[in-house]
Amino acid sequence: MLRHPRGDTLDSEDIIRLYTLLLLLFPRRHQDEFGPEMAEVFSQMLRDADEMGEGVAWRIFFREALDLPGFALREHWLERKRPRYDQHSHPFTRKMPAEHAAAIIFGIFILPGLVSLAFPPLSTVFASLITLLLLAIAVTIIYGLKRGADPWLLLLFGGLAGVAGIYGIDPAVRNAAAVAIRALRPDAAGSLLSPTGLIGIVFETGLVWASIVAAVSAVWLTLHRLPGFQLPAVEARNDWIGITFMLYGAVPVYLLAESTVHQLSLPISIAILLIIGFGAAGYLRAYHPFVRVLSLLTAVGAAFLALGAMELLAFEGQGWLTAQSAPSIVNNRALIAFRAVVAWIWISTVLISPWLIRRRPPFVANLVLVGLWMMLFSPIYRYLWTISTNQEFRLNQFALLGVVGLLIHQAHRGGFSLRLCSPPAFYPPALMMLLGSALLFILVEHLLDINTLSAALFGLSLYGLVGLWLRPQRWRDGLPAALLLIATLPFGEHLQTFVGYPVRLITAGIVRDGLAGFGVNSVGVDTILVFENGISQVDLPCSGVKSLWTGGMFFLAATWIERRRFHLRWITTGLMFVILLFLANLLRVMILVSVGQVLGWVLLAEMLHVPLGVLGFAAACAFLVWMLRRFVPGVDETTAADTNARTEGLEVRPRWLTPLLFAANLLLIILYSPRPQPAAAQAEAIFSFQPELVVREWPFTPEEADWLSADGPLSANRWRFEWLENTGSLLLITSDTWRAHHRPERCFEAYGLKIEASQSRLLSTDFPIRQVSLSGAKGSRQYTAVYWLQSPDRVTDDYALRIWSDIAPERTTWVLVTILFDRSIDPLEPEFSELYAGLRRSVDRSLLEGTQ
Amino acid sequence: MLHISMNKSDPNPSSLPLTEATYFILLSLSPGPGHGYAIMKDVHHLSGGRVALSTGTLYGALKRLLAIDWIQRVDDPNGDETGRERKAYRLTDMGRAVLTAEVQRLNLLVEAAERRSGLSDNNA
Repeated sequence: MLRHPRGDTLDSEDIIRLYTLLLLLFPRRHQDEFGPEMAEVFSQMLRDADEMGEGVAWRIFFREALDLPGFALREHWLERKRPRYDQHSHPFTRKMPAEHAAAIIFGIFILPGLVSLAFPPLSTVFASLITLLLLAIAVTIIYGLKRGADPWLLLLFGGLAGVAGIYGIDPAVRNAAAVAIRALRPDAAGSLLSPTGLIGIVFETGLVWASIVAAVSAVWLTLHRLPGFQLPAVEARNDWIGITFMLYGAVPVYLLAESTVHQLSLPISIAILLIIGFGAAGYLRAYHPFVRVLSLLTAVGAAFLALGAMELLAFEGQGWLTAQSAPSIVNNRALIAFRAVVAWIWISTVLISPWLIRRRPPFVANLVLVGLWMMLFSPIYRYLWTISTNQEFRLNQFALLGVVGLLIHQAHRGGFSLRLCSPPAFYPPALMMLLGSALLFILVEHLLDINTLSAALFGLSLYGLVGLWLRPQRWRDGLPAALLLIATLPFGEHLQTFVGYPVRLITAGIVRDGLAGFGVNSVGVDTILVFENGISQVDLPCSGVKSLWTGGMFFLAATWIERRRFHLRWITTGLMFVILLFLANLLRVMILVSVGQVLGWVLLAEMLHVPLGVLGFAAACAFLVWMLRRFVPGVDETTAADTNARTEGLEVRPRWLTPLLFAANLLLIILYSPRPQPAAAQAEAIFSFQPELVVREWPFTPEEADWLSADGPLSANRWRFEWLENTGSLLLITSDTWRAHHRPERCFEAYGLKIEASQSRLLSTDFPIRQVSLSGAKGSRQYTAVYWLQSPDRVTDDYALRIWSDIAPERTTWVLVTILFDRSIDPLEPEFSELYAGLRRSVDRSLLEGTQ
Repeated sequence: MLHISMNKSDPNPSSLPLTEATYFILLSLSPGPGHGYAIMKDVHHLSGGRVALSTGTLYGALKRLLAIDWIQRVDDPNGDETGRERKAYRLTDMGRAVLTAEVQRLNLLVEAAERRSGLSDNNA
């Protein structure tokens, strides 16, 4: 027992506690390494000193107390030059089994989202009760992890925690904020002080912050009381600044998550993310607690400032939650659920982020990089969703499923491990694919606006991105599979449109010249085109252009299955295969035209059409496989393994690459601008028909109007008509973008009609029309439809020509004229010729007036 | 590569002379491993009560000696009085070579002083 100089008794344990407090002056690394030993030595010194007398003990203590701060300062100075301290003893460094991680992630993040879609929010009381439940569950989860609980149990607890998070904290805080503000300022409704105003938001945010403080404190206290959790409790206590970060970080991120869903523009979102990022970086890089907290406060303050500026500038006079509370949003259950899920995920992410950032900096940097990349390609997601779900693209979906199955099989067999915990590797081919495709994506979106092409570039860029963390050899091996995957996109129609048109022109030109060589001069290109198209019910093998798509997929699949290397010979083989397909089609067209047009055996030509296409395609594919095996070198397993082993240690992962990729992605995000859409607010086209045509307006239903206006036509009109003895409906759609001109065949199918035939007919040399033969349900009734596309300069039934005209710098206005007769007719009968001619004149007049 | 010492236990001449605290700590560990408090007491004893290490000095020096690989940390086979596991320190080959070199250096100094005018005799 020691006696205090003032006469009070002082336990030696108290002096040791004082000494332990002094040890906190040292850097964390020093504390962890030597703290316990120093305290032990000091206590031994005290014990020995106690035997020598009270004064000696006090002298020792004061000497240490004077000595330690100087040494601590020196250690801090030396610490400055050392690498970041890594606490090896952190309790969470233990690797969590994959099934446990999957169960928790599914439980916490996915299950609650599904639940919130089904059930409405709860009242404050219930929400508060559930919040308490959340705390209990959080403790149970940690306890379960500690004791090695079964995955299904963690799934259950994780799910309960997630549901409680969404139904508990979120509505409890919102409701409490609203009640508190109304109690404080009953007259505040509708003003900035209201729960939906700026101050309301700050107040609500404060409550969110307070609730998180309460939750974390409660968990911490509970852990502290449990003997089994001594280690996490000690760690939590030691890392109190980390907890501060969690709390400060959660607030702006919560705001961000809430507002990003509805209101924030992309630049503001990025600005806030950067602010938070800088704050986190400042916290993680700084060693002094004061600097750490200062950086956090600065970042949070800046985030609030950005939000405040947005409030004032972007949404003047109203809180951004006011707009958010508009009935259209409030009534949107999916949107509310989505908002809650997003907020919950963000908060959870922020809670684990300090640990994640500290433990795995490259992993976090990679995640951010992937996030930026995903943001860049965000305009294409809607289209990807459409082609993966719409019945229209069923063939592509089946192809996709097949290729994905193959990919999984290959990955399982050959290994496809992504090293996401390493910084990106400098592998030029992958890097070029990543950035080149992203750049092309921007150009395509701005200039062409062709979704399939954008989606293909998305796929290419994605594979380039994957290449940053994949072994180069594995990346090269998987390239055919990736291309195959991309090739399952619905290219068929676009190839037909964008490649098919010029290829068909070339084919027709060659056939004409070929026939002229044999002395047959009477067949023109237009005739060949109409003939070829007219008897062609386009399916994969028998269209020359679609066979390119099918052939391309076959080529990739064969390369992959045969394990051929990407090589100059591989490219040569591919080019030869394309030439073969082209020649096969050329030969087919030449035979068909010779037989049908020159010799006049039309029936035989129709009979030969499909077999010739199949034969040509099959022969080209057989030749391709032979060439691949004969000329293209294969992937030697031994060589590949050697190369892997050799390149494993040689992969360059420069430190500048990650910032460079960040900058490149950000730059591309900023540069992105979609193709300017034509102004929709133009005067409606007015048509005046010939007197013999009796018409009656037939308004669109709201659903039809919505669907038609989705792609921005200038006008759309529908009439019922009577022409001589015939009745039917007439549809005229005026537009200066091809997107608003849907193929009429698709519309007929959407209305339940079956297409029996579709062929080109020539009314005159400059007036081709498309005749579509239709049947009703179970073939009960037969109909005939006629359509053409008309611009001020020309008339065509060729959809490809319509699309190609949009590629020109100057937009042209086109009218799609569709006539659906109530019965089956022959559209070339003389009684209809004046109908078509009159309609053509009406459309001409309308287009002429529109251009004036 | 020419600048790399061929023998790991060769002391770098630039590391000499040692500070008094470092010298006595190495000397204290020369017979065998010792834990923190034992070193502290031994240093006090070896220096005739002249050098009294504080915990800050002792562990600052130990930390640096560990970093330059002159000593290494080992488990103290005896534990403390209560039987708890505790860490001890022992000289590495390099540390021992440095200590030997320092002793030789000091001997040379003393011999030089002795050769000059019987300084040691006068002191005696």
